[in-house]
Amino acid sequence: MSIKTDISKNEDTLTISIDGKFDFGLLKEFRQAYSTDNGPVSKYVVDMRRTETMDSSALGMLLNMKKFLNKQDREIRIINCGPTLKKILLIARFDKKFRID
Amino acid sequence: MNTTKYHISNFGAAWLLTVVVVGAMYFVDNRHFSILAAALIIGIWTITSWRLSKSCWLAENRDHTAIRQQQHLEQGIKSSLNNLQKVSTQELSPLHETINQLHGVISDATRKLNSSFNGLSDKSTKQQKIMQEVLATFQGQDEDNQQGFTFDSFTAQINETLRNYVDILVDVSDRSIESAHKMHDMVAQMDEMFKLMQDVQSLSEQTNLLALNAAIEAARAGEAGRGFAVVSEEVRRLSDHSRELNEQIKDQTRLVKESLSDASRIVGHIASLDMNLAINAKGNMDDMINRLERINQFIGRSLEASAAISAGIKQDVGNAITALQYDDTVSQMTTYMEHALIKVQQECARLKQRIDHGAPIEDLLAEINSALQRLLQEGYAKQRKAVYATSMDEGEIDLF
Repeated sequence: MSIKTDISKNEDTLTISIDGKFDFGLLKEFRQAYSTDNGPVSKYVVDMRRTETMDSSALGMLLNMKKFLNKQDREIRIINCGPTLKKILLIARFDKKFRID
Repeated sequence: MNTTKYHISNFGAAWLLTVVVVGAMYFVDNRHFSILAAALIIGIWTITSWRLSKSCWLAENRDHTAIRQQQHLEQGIKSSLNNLQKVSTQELSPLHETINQLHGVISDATRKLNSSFNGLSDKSTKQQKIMQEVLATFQGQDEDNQQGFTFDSFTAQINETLRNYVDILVDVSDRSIESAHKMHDMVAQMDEMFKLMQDVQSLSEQTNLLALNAAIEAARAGEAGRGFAVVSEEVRRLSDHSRELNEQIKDQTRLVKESLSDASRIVGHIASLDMNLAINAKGNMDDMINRLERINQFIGRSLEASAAISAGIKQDVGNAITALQYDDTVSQMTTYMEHALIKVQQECARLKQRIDHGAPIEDLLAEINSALQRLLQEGYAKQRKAVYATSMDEGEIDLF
């Protein structure tokens, strides 16, 4: 599985980790990860530590996630980005919409 | 042999001998001896006078020779003086011309140099102006003072365009993913429909069964059940028909599902654009901006250096033009040279006059001497010294 989900100990944060290529092939899985009922989770984190590449579909998926969860700007965190991925996010001006760590 | 001593000794000897012989004659009273003595005395005096007249004659000869030699010398000196005077005249006259030519050449060259230097200075100033105009254009202040083309605005526009492009990419992706989600939802709904159709299917199967049962009951009722048998037959036919329709709906639904699958794949392609293009473009832009910045700085520095050089050129030209202002001095110097020449020529002319009038050598030599003295006293060297002395006293110097 390329998508792993983890819920924090205090059950308020959901972390979605993406392995390998973050592209259109992960469409169903990724949507499932955030759209299923996760209980009292209020904070969302996307962990890119094991993510190798990202194309524009990944950007679309992230935006749709934000729309679905009805979150304001910079409420969803994207963490552990490599330099290339960070460049992509910055060029796409995602630093306004997400908190990029 | 013409010495006084020689004469005195000659005379002395003669007188001595005469005295001796006369004395002897006095003491010896002999006619032979007296004649001999007389002859001796005559002989002595003949020899003496002969010797004396010989030396006179020699001396006279020598005098003549000396006079001839002196005349020769005089001739020689006169002709030398003539030649000297001729040569002086011949060599001095063209000097006037040469001095004038010299003055002319110097004036001419000076004039040309002056105008060249002025031209140089002008052109350097123009060059400087042109470069400043170029710089102003780069910095967007052309002569109409409009914010025209600048590298800054150019790169800003490109950056903007790039940003817009990326925004479009992201937007397209966003909507594509949304569409893909919707299509997946539609597929799920199709599956729901399939379930319902299954229900319809089983419904019609049950209806069929029921109709069969009804037919059997109708047959058992015999004649009374014949109407009922017809009805149940109709019901069976209707349920068959409905099953067929159901099949067709299922087929259509399957087709829709396939179409959705295709559409979803297409949308997937649209959503999956390579971001590297945008990254590389942005990277190139940043590079270009850096390079342009460096070029700008380089241009700025170059212009500064150029301005300094231009100022230096002006300075050098100024110095050159000042240095070329020696015309007065050159005039003065040529005038001095003229005067010196004229003085020497005058002395030569005076000398010629005396020679032509046949003045004696001593006079000529004295004349030459006094002429030389005059030249030494009033000549160019003394004048020059005097001029320098007064000029330096006054704190000015004639030369540049």
